[in-house]
Amino acid sequence: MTISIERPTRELTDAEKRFVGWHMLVAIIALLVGSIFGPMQALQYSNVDLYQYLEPVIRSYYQGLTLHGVLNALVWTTFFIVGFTTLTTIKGLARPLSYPKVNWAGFWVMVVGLVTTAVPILLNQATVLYTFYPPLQASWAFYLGLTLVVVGSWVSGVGFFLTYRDWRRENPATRSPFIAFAGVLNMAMWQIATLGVAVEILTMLLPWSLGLIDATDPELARTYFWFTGHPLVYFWLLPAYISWYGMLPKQAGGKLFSDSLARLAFWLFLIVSVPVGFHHQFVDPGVPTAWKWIHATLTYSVFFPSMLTAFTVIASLEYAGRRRGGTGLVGWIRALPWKDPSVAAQLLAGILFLFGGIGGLTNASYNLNLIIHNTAWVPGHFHLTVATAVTLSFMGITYWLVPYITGKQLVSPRLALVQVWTWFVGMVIFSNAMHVLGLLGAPRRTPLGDAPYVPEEWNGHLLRTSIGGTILLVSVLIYGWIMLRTATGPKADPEDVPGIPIAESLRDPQLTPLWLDRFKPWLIAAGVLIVVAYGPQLWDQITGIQLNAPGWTPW
Amino acid sequence: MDEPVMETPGVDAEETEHFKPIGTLFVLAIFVATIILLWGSVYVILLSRGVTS
Repeated sequence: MTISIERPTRELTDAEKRFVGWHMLVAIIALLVGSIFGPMQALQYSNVDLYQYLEPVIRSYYQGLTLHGVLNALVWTTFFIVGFTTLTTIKGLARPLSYPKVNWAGFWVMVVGLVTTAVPILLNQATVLYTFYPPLQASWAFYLGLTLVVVGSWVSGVGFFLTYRDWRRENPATRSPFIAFAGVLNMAMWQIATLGVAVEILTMLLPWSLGLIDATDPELARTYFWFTGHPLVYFWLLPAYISWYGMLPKQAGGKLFSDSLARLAFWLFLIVSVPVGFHHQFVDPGVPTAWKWIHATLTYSVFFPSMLTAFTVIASLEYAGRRRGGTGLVGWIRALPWKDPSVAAQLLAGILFLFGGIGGLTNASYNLNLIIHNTAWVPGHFHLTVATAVTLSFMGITYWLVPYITGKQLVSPRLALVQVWTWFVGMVIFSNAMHVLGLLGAPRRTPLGDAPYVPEEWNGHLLRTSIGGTILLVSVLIYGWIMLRTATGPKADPEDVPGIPIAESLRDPQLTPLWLDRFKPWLIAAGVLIVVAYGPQLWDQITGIQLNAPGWTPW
Repeated sequence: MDEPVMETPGVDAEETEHFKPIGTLFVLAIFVATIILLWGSVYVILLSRGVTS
């Protein structure tokens, strides 16, 4: 017997909107500042050195690269995600946060962490790139600041968990609303995943940078880092998926194709996103081949929830397209509301993400990885994932979210559409050139404009990288202008302010099996798989630790 | 920003229940073919460099 339950709705209060807004403000500022340095790297490939004009504030290509990576990959994403999850939790559960002071505390710890991290980077005392691999050594403040950002996000996560727990107590028989469920799941995955980097910093890098120990073990540090590093990608992606599954179908005029498939995909991401880190260490000599193979196999298993996602999201869009009059095998694609910048951003992000997925399979293939490891292919790949699937989706979300929380109308939707398409075109040019350069053997993280060994056949692709980067700079500047003008514009008539798009499911979510709505078994399964996939090798590396690498500060 | 949804005749509760995502399967088939093609092209590069010999 099934019970159809009337689900309450609730809008965010002004105070809750302001709280979300603070997260978005920090996130968007980080995106804008960090994005300035990306095109500077791309232009350097064509021997256009803009860094000379930033001296003495910015002293090297690598300091700029560190700023770009930390601000765009870590700060923009984390603040956006915590703010967005606040919104999905409150709106999804139709109740306020149980302990808003906990969430405010989380926010301020993140802000203090951000400032503590930014100061040494700006002083050129933490030019270690966003992966901060030892033996590159940063100021202790950099490591402490990053720790605080992570701890702050944990505190916010606890606030979400407590709110979800209270909702569950009040609604024991109701399937949790998808957007709230998925946001809480993502924060749970994040708490598990960041244990790696927390241990790395607190037991190795922080004491090392404070001079309490003289040297460190780069191999063990890298293993800890990639324990966190790969699920970090899913921490970025899952909020975009929340929108693709739970909001975009509504924006497109349709419904979520399957609530059950959506939840199953999220559970599988929780289970398989962590125990795969060794596929980032295929050329690390300290990791035995068998463990690399095990992690490669587990990485392939991520393909399954990824294809579930592709199927469910595209089917939801097909349903929308057909409701809008689209016909034929692909005619429904044209019928989607491409003129809505929020929709177009997410559709284009999804299209490029398909190619990001193909690149990811190549990265995960043990032998193929040898072709592209540490080449320009890798940033080419993650500019399709984090810089497009994630960032362009987040931009699209802000096109309704910022008007919603400010009570304003989006300034110039037409210009927003230009922004979305310039990002897409710029990224196609940039990313394709980087992939090709990688296949030709061009190293990543290298100012190739200064390199004496660049062969003739690279030049055209280096130029394309610069052109793509420049288009992306134009796009992000347009984005910043739209956000600024929207946030500072006059209040709009409430009827003209967009609401939060929540997609209904084709089938009543109450029909979703109970086992897809219970956290405990899935969390246990995730923990067991992590112990099996990481335990023995971590034990070997920890017991065989070799603290023999002194710190190195080359730039 | 939302464009009006054009309710077409023929899309009703019954069609919702029996919606078959044929277009989706077509798009995913093309995607899988593209995966094989692009993954294979990198594999050919690997072979051409003699890594496995």
